[in-house]
Amino acid sequence: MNTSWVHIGAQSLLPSKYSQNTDKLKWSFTDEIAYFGGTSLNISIEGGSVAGGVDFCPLYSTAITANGSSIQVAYLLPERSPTEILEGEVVGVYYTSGVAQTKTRLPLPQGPRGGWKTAKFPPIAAGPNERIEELGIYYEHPAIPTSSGFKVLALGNLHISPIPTVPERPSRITEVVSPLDKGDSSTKLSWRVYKRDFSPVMRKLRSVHGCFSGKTGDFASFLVWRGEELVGVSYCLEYDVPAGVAVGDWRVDGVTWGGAIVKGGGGK
Amino acid sequence: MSNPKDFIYFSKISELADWRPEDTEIQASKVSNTPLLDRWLPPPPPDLPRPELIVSVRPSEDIETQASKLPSTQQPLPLPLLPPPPLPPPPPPIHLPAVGIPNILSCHDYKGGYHLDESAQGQFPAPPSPIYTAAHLHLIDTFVYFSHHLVSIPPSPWINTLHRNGVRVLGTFITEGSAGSTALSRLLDKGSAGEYMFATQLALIAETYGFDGWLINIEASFPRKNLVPGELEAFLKELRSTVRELVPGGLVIWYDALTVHNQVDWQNGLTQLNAPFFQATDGLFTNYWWQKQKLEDTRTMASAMNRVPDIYTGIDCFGRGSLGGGGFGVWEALSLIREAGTSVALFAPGWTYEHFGGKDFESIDRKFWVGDGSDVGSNPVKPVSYFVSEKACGGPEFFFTNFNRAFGKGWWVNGVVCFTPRSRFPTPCRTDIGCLHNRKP
Repeated sequence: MNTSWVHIGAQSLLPSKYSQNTDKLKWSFTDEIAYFGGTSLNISIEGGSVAGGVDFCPLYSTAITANGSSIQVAYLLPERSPTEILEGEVVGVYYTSGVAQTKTRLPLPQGPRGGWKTAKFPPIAAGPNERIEELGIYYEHPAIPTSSGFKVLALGNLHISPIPTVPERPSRITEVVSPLDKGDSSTKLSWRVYKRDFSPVMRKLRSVHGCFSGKTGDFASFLVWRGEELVGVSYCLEYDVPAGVAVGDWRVDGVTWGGAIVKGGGGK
Repeated sequence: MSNPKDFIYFSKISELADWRPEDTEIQASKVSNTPLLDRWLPPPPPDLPRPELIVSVRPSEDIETQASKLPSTQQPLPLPLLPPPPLPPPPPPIHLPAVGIPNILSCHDYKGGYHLDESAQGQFPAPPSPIYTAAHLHLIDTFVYFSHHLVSIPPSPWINTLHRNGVRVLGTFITEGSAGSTALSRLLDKGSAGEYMFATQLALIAETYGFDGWLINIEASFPRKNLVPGELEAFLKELRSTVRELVPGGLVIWYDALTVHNQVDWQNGLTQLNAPFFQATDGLFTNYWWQKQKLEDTRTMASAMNRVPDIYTGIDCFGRGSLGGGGFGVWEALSLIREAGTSVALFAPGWTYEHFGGKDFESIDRKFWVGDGSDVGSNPVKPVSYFVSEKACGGPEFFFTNFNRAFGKGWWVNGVVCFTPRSRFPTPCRTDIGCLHNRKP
């Protein structure tokens, strides 16, 4: 394992559904590319003679309220040579809900390959007690004659809620102060956050467990920057700069519980 | 080697006594910021009455015989003779249809605990070695941070990740050997209002650092003068009620070691010698040396108390006398536990890393928890997931993942790499990195 950083607290919700050996469409972690943090999810199709049709790759068992929920995805369509692009292929998100457990498919917009894209689907219309019970990726394709498999999609994040979880007016992050020379040649940075938006939507959002912290408010974590360099990640309102790191132009950005980044103030 | 200032734990009872919530003013990074996610639970079956069974200890002939052989300093304490409980109704047959084990407790006893990669700020950069993480949290209900210090406070990164996934986190209070007896000489001290001081301290610590309660593991005897009958139970009840008051949904779990005779005598199940402690707490984590008959006896007794799921039947993932020999053999024990209907406590599931020195950790860990992708029905060696009730990921109104695994080769922000292993600060990438809210305050 060739790691450059470790933070036990950075672990997100990992897939709870695992591919079986007989499945054609499989997921795997990759640390070669990510949308945020250090990992994304590769969805790949097996090599060999794969008949045309639709293959499914289940990822999560969930119990999210279906009605009104919006699904948002950050994804990347891997680069392939033009001859490898299959005519009529569609990749997208699917979910099951309701008594019938039918799979609803939401195709992801195509377009240029090789770069991250984000997509947000319209809110789901469903019965009041319906829940999204399974969530995954599907791949509709013609017959695949290649002997080797290929990557279909990289997933960077996945976000579902009936509440808009990207705040309209997020909390304000103050400037970073570093008043303490702790006597051991290290420095402690500190900052504050202030709530600004008290609209009904924000009140509702802050009442959802997992979307608000008594310690860090609308933010799940903070990215700590020295000038233009990322130094580390903090899950509180301070950061101990390791000994030996030069004094710098400190600043932090906030990362909301729904994964949005909010620019913070600089240091003084 | 961990730097003591990276973590908070206490080795002496005096350190526990001296702790104050204000200490966190200089320890902000040691405090969890992530609330426990509410997992969605299916509607419960019709409520069954939960009688408050009075469990009295009537020393059996056998116990009296054993006790009479003890030196006078270890003689059992005089016990109150309570009226015998009414005979419980006969329990239903043990061979129930195979439903999932209700709850899994994972006891994280990983190389003694408190490693640098668990520190509050993580490691940026990190040494190039494999990392142990708990990846299969959709199967776990409760996580105990275990070490052999007197008081183990879970590192905040563990609390944050586990809470994000809807898993409760407990610290550990453990007493062992003569040092343990010294600690026990003060454990039942009372404050000016008649409260158990250390029950208050432990509950306040859980509230302050943001975790959900305690595993209480007494593996030493109380000095005789420090324990009067019923007082440890009163301490545990007060600890449980204070934890519940300060931490919504908080738990206190008792480990099966000390008996009502003030002896460390592992029962490997629920018996009359540990039932009063079970009754005073939210659950019993049994020792691992049980066999089928002992499990059936435990179930019978817990059923009479209407608390079968509150029994956490222990399995040592390293074997050491555990049915099935631990490792990939845990299915043998899990199979019987599922039939019995108790919950399970997996001790040291870091076996998947430690036993193999971290080699092929991801695939070995996956095989242990959820299988290797082969047909689980036809494979006699079954993963943990085969026996348990899988929990829904995320909450009923919110689900977010960025697929992070707690380590990486680089750190990306909105698809732009900002931290790589080539050097400490290699990649200028700031300014217009794509902040969704790049507004002026």
